[in-house]
Amino acid sequence: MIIKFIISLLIIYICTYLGIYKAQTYEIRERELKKIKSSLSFLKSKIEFTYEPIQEIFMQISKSVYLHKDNIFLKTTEYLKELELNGAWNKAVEGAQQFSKEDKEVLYMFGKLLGKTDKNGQISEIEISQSFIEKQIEKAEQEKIKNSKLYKSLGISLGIGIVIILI
Amino acid sequence: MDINILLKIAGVGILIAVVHQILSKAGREDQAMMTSLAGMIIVLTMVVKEISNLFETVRTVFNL
Amino acid sequence: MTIVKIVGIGFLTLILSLVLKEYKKEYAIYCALIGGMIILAASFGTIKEIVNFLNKISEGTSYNSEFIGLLLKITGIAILVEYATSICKDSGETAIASKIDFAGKIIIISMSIPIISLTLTTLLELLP
Repeated sequence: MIIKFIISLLIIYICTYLGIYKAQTYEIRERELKKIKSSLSFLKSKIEFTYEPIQEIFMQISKSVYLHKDNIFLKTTEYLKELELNGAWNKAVEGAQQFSKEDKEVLYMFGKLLGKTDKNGQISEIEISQSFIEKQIEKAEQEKIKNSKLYKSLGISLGIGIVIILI
Repeated sequence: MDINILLKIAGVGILIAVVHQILSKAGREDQAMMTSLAGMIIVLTMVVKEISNLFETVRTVFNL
Repeated sequence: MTIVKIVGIGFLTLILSLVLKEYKKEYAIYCALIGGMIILAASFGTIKEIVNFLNKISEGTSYNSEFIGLLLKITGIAILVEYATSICKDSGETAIASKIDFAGKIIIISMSIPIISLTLTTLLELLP
């Protein structure tokens, strides 16, 4: 009897956790997009006012603005040791699980022109990317409102349902 | 014959109703319908088993 | 104390199906089905005793015990048909209920043909 009770509680707990985990992916996506946006404005001001190499700027971003142990800027600097800038950026974006396909498309587009034009071109390029990312953030917010509550309650009810059917 | 199955069916019914409500509020009508169907099938299998049990009892008692 | 149990189960079924009717009507029908079944099954212990008693009585008499068996069969069919029709009527399907009723009546009549024919033949023998 006690074992049954404990197992039922465990099932409910696991299902609830799964629901919350699924719900959190939406929150993580929104948060990461917001960080990318602030990193881009950081990058813009760096390009505008200083002449540091891009590796240096990326390192600074991952130390100050975008604190995440495997963010795409840090990854890019790692990959830069063996690849050129565009390839390294693409590889880093490809490895980022938290973004959706559309987000990645925007990031690829940003990487395509990174380091290909002069200073003003770079700045306008970053501004365009920022506006795109702004749109993606809005979309992510809407999706979060729609889905995160749904997945949370769905997880709990799934757990309770399994327990009811098994008892 | 125990009362557990009655409570189980009621629980599944209420739960499916809640899930249906949540899913249809989130704009996933097709999935809501699927969950309703799945719940129906689960409950139906339980009910069918019990009904065959009852018929068997009737048959043995009245030598049908 | 079976009656207390049965009444309790009946009330529980009633409340559960009333609650379920608010949200999902199908489950209310399931609930009523199972509740009725549990009550029926609970009363089957008593029915079994009665059947045994009848069988013993019929063994004591010299009368054809085949007919007692037939009578019991008809009772069983009547109980099942009643159960099914009341469930159908509860869920608002009177048409199906009347069809089940009809089929049950037909089967009962067809099963009682031996008794009827025996009665008629004895009557004919008695007549001059």
